[in-house]
Amino acid sequence: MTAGEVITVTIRRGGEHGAPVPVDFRVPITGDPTVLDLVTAIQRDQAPDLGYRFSCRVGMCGSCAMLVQGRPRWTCRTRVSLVARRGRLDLAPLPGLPVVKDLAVDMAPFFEKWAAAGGGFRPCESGDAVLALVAPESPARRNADAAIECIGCGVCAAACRVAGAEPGYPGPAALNRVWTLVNDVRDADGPRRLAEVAGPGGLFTCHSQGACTACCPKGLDPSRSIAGLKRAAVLAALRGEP
Amino acid sequence: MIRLETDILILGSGGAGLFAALHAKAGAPEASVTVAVKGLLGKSGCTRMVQGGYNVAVGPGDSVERHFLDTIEGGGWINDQDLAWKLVETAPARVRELENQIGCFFDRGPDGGLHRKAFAGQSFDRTVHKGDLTGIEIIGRLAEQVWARDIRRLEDHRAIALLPDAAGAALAGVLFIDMRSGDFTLVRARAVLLATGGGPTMYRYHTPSGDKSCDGMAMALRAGLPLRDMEMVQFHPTGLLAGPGTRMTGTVLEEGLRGAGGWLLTGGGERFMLRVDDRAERATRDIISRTMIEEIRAGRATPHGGLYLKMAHLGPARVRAEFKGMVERCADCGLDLAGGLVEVIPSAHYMMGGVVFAPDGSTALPGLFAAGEDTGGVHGANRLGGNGVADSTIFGGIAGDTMAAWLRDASGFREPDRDLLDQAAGRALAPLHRNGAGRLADLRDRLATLMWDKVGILRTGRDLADAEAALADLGAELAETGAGSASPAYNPAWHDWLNLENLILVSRAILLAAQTRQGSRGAHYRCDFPEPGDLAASSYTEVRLQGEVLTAANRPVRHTRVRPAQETGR
Amino acid sequence: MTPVRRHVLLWLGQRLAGLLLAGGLAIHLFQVWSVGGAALVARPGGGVGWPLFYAGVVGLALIHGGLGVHGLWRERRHGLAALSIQRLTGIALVLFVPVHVSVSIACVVCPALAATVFQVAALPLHRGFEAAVVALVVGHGLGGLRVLALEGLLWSRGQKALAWIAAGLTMAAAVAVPAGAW
Ligand SMILES: Cc1cc2nc3c(=O)[nH]c(=O)nc-3n(C[C@H](O)[C@H](O)[C@H](O)COP(=O)(O)OP(=O)(O)OC[C@H]3O[C@@H](n4cnc5c(N)ncnc54)[C@H](O)[C@@H]3O)c2cc1C
Ligand code: HEM
Ligand code: SF4
Ligand code: SF4
Ligand code: FES
Repeated sequence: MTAGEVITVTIRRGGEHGAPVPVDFRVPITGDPTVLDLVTAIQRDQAPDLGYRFSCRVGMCGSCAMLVQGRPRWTCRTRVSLVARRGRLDLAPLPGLPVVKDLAVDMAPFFEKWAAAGGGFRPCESGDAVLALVAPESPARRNADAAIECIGCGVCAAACRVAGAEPGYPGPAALNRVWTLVNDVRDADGPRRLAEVAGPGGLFTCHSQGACTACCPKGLDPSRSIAGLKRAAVLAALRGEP
Repeated sequence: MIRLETDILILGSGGAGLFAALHAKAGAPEASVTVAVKGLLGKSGCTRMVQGGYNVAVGPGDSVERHFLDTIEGGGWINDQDLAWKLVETAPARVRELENQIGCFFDRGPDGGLHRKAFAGQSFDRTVHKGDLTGIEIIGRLAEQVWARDIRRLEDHRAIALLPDAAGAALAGVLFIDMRSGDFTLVRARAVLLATGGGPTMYRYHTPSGDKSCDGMAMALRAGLPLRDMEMVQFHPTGLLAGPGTRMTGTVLEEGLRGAGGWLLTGGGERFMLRVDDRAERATRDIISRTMIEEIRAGRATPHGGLYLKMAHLGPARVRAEFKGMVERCADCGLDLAGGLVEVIPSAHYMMGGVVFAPDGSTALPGLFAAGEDTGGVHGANRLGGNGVADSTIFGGIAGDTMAAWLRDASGFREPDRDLLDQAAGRALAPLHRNGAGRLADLRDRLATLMWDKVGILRTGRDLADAEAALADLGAELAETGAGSASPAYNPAWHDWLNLENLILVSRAILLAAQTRQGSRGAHYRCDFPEPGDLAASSYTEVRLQGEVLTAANRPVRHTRVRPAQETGR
Repeated sequence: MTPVRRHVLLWLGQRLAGLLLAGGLAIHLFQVWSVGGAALVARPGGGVGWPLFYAGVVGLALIHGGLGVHGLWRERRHGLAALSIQRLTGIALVLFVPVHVSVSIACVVCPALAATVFQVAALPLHRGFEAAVVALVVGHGLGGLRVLALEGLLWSRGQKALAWIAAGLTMAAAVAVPAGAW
């Protein structure tokens, strides 16, 4: 895929209601565009009402994820030249979420699961207390750091077939966040959170095959985070805890 | 039209909006609080994109007073000093709150305490951060807290008008477009926070997120509110220049690259900052941006019309280790930051100007509060790196407290002025019945080029006059152009049109303010008036919309806490 | 015991049984390779050691396979959506193991039957079948060990390499074990 070529982009268009229809667009390539750039070009020049979502355009907000050639990806940082095959590119909305229109989805269910899994800090100090001293090299800090830079893009959840099939399963991103909190010495509940996610339908529903990790654009490792939760939950159960 | 009611309505889910929601809910737990946002909650806006960090005077030896002076000096002595003081004074408490209550986990130094890094223009290392992705940590944690509470979300809801009651005595509600369905939603509220985050996206090269189009400032102007310091647009020297066809162009390559010893080179490979400033590439943003434009205008540009950023002399391995995020980002564009040359260009970054407001968040319109980048006065003529996210979280929180208290005194719900409501709805609907969506991109490009060339980093009276006429033409042309498709449901062309309308209005305000300030301060540089003028007799500009006409005035700055002469005492 | 705790411990049981099975089946496959199936069944005058060993392996398979099927049943609403190679091979093993175990026991008890069985087993077609079965159990076992490494030791890096090594070893075993047995 080089400048001057024309690429055929197939976009699965449609709203929440009504079956999506694949529509082909032919787009001339200028420069070395990202997938988001192509979608923008199509919206500007060919389909002014094409629904798609983006905000930061540099991989920070996590709102531009789509299925690119059948695989979930962030589109603002994915170059077309690396994913197009034989002059074609296939785009569809992120699976597992309600489609608002065309490529734009409603991410509320993703964050509802996040909230339901307890993916929010619970303070034990009053707001004005002296800040906790946490050595940067301590294992707790490093474990928390490894999982902390999630942008909530939903790519991992889209890649996870278990999350797709089991509505009650919190999914990799939410569990990844819980793992950060379990390791967060400042959190009021810390390890007590394990009991909230270890029950039937919870974290043991994960099969550790790592599709989430393979797709995470930030290079995070939700599969490992979940493994960490599993191990911590087993140790807790052996101690007779939850 | 759907009608909703909520005690407290917050426009925007950046640092200002989310903090206000949490504080409002805490201050008035029985009140209904709603956050409405133009995209997804916590995902849109610029707080999310903060890289560098958060200024706070907590280090041993540092003080709130030093932070204050840095802010005032950086601001060219035109800040509202009470606002600036509020900022620096509240920062330590806000950072503790972010850590202890919200759950942000900032980086720690070897002693386990907060790590503080150096940021340009400051007398002390006081910028706390989480790696180079501080904003993700702040907004991610804030959004989690909002999700966990009984706070109503109106996602994909774009505010289009602030509606006072028929008497004009107070704000009654806000008119929205529910972007998903394309229907109007009228939300009546007893207190409204304007926190839509400004965003100078009318410039060809700009750093903010795509959803920001100065909506809040445009709505405020139409509601009759004054905007101050609108000529003050900050440019970040190292915006990525990756060609015209990509949205990556304009995005920030972080300041730390220059701080660490990166070089700026002309298209011919020559270092030029040394000629201008002893600090060379470590000089402040405004000086570097100006010099860069001079080099470009002198014909020493790179193929895409920018300049080169070179890091390789520091050793590619070191660059890769220290600036992993930036190296990866460039690599995703096919550029080699660590070992090669990357084209950069100054990029419009932040608007120091905005709605005139008081330290408690209130504005001239009862019931309307404002915080964050939508407001003006805190930063004066130039914002220090690290003071922006401090601004939004601090004043957002304060506004939340104020609104919670306001409910106790405020009367009940008011009914918006019917005529204004109809007018606003009619104006928004107009483009739907016209075609020409294909011309919108061209219009936007022309606006961007115009603002860049004539109302950008180097300004002259002649250019501004040219731009005034051209802006009027663009406005007229937009009024003839439509959004093509008749379906309003999630129709990006329609919203592009509305964005453009607001951007053109606010561009006119910037232009008028730039004409009004005949002198050079901070980010505003007039080639025809290069001198800053008497600091002690500083004034600030104020722009209002009356009917269709913008008017401007110079107002004296009151140096309530420190006067320019005292500067030397430091 | 709280439901959560029970859930966690059952999961642990399944994993532990899998781990022990890996050892047991490795020994079993080595036996098949070195002395051959016929000799195993006809093992003359052996003490209680080997019968006990095999009883243990079968018990572990019952626990591991049983809990596995229990889990699959609980998640049956997923339909076939959540199928992975690990699960498919697991299900195939659950189908194969009972047949294999009962035929083997029958052969031990009744040498006449054994003769017929080994006649069938000598058919060229059956060699292919054997290779497939070995690939199945080794593939599932190594895939399982990889999962155990990830979950137990939090090994995350190099998981891809591990997967390839597992695939390679599986192929090798699928060829070597039946070849050795004959
Ligand atoms: C790339 C980048 C890096 C930065 N780095 C730093 C840094 O290191 N340190 C620092 O201090 N500052 C930094 N800043 C500045 C900082 O981001 C801002 O000062 C501050 O975060 C603005 O916060 P806010 O809440 O006012 O607006 P935002 O965070 O921009 O939020 C605005 C919100 O309003 C919503 N909105 C917009 N229009 C409408 C509408 N019509 N209706 C409803 N909702 C609407 C948006 O969707 C968004 O949710 C940076 C900015 C950028 C762009
Ligand atoms: C060779 C040694 C073996 C090892 C190391 C092993 C390991 C594992 C592991 C780790 C899993 C979990 C996979 C997951 O959760 O997705 C699993 C699943 C399974 N195994 Fe085994 N196993 C072995 C042998 C067997 C045998 C002999 C049987 C047949 C009785 C069997 C039947 C199953 C079944 C049915 C599952 C599916 C459970 C599920 O996916 O939830 N396994 N095995
Ligand atoms: S490892 Fe777990 S969370 Fe990740 S994709 Fe597989 S089942 Fe989903
Ligand atoms: S873990 Fe990775 S893929 Fe999943 S939401 Fe976070 S950043 Fe996206
Ligand atoms: S647009 Fe923000 S991550 Fe892609």
